[in-house]
Amino acid sequence: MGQRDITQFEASMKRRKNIISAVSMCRLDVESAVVKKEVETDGGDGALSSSRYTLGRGVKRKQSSCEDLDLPYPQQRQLVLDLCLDKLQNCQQRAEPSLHRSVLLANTLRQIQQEMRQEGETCLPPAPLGPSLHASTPRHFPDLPPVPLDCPPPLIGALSPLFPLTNASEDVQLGGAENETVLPSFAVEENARSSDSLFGSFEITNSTSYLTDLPLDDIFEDIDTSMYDSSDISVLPFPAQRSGGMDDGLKNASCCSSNGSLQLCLSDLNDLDHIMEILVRS
Amino acid sequence: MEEESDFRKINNSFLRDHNYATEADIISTVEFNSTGELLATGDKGGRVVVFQREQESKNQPHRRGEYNVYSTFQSHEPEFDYLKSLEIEEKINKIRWLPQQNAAYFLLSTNDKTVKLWKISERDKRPEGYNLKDEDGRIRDPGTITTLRVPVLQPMDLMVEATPRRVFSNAHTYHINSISVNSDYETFMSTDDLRINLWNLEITNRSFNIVDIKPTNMEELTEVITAAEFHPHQCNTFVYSSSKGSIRLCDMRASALCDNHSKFFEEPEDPSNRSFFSEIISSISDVKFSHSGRYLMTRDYLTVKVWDLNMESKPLETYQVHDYLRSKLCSLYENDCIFDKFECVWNGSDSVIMTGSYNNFFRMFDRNTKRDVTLEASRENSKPRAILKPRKVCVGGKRRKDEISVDSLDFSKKILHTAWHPYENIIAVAATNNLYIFQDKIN
Repeated sequence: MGQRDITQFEASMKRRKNIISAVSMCRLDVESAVVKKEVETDGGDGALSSSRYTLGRGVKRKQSSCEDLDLPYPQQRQLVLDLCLDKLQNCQQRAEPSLHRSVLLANTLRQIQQEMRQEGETCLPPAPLGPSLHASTPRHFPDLPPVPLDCPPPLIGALSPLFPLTNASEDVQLGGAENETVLPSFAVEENARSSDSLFGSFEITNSTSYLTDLPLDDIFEDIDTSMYDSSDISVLPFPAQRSGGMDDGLKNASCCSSNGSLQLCLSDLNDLDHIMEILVRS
Repeated sequence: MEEESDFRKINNSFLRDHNYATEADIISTVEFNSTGELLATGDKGGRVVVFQREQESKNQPHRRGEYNVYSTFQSHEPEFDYLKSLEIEEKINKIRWLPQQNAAYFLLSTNDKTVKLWKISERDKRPEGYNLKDEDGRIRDPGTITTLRVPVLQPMDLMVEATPRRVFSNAHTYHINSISVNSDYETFMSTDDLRINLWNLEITNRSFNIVDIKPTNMEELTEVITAAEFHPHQCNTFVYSSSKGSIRLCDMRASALCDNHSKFFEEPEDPSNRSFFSEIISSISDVKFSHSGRYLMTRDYLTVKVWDLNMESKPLETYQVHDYLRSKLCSLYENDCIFDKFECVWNGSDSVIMTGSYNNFFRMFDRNTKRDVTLEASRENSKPRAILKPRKVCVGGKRRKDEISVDSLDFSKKILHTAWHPYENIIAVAATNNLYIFQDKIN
């Protein structure tokens, strides 16, 4: 039985002796009106909320970046989306993120992406959205609890191209009335680039890990790849027709390479043909 | 009406404070035992504090049954999982008492990964006069032993000891969010984000997986289990709630693995309330059977709902906990409050329900009269034996006296955990690192 292995931990209390101190400790001393140190709830979040909400009456509160309900809908959505990505990214930085929270965030992200895709189908060429939608949300899940070690720092770094976008939108809203006149132009610009820059960053995610995490890297070892930075690589088209998106491609690629038939594998993925061209040329 | 007036009379005849001051002191769970004699709290530092109700005394009738610290012990320690390179927090997620069967008390406490069975017992005598060891427990030199004697029990100061009797570990990959003792008193279940395991209280090296919603491909995961509980009387029945706002009732007689539920409770979404946050706010943070076993209560971010076990299509009753936050969801999402997990409790007769809110407010709903009240657990506003004043949050532009505006609510002061005495009107409210105990006015 397992319990025999436990070191006996005895937490005991001399009841009679301590009862008086216990009582006095427990009773609220109203007369002395001691100001007790209040504990701030977890770090930044608590601080954020308290600073935002506890200002006294008459003090104008700092406008929350998303409290402005007059924001045009696409901007609101973009803001929620950005926060969502930001939170998911923070989730990943924790040793063991809350699965509950990640799932709620990912579902929200999916919902917004689907909405954007539907809009995109009517007004944007659908091509760039297709494969990246597959890659985006699922990409987060393999990094959740069961395989936390699979969450390498490069992945987090790879998401960083998103930040300028996030900051830009926050600045706009935090600026309040002054910037309100600027909003319309921003809205157009952001709308136009939001979807592809967002998804573009996900492609970077995949392609960076593609190059750093896999045995394929060894093959590129003696080739100077410095000229192809990650943004260039992200432009490389990926096999969109594969049902499982990027991960399938990666699995195939890695298993092929371990069989020593990389060449065959890559020619299979004819979308990657021009990687080979580059290889041959150099 | 009667219930309602009861609550207006509830006072803080004994208001307590643990003198807590750090993150580790934040109370993470509160639970009365089945007689109400004991009240246990768990905190983020892995400690369990047990309070015992003082016997009523004729000399001091105003001190009717106050709760005093009975035992304090370190239930869980921070650990490190070397295989996964993960820290395991010591925070106590849930405490459940076992029905009392002898002089000792037993409780289950759990952190994210490990459930422990603790025995809390009193000792007021100690054996003295051993032959082979002296009073300090050291072995005596055999040469000095010249006579044999019979050890005797000597009275001593009363000690309350907490000893770990069982450790149920290595069965959860994800975070344990709830534990529930079965009405057969022989088994209990532990629930994490994706699985529910069934244990025998005597057996620690084996558990049975009774629910597993983990998809083979984790990329397809869109739903997690948020809470689970056994039926109070039918040992084969249990429910679990999900992050999508539904509740599944399972019958363990149907099959060993309860992947197929026997009942599915879900309310269709109101399209007029649709927003980006619909999914997040519909996630159920707590599910509780009524004492009668006839009803279920669920708490989501904005509401608490009562379901009849015989009606799966919609809840019997829906109570708005803090509907004024509906327009603030974006900010609450931004500052992560939207992920707070509020719990809910029934009173002894299942006629009133209670749940927490922000700004140290908590809410009570009388199911018969449909009246509700907002009360505040705070040191500033309450003196011992004072009557709690109902609070009101002002929604519109005009703020009346004694009302508090939505914008001045303090979202860092949240009441997530509360408990109700099994049959008396005594409630325990955990407000960050303070525990408040309120009871009916003594006439």
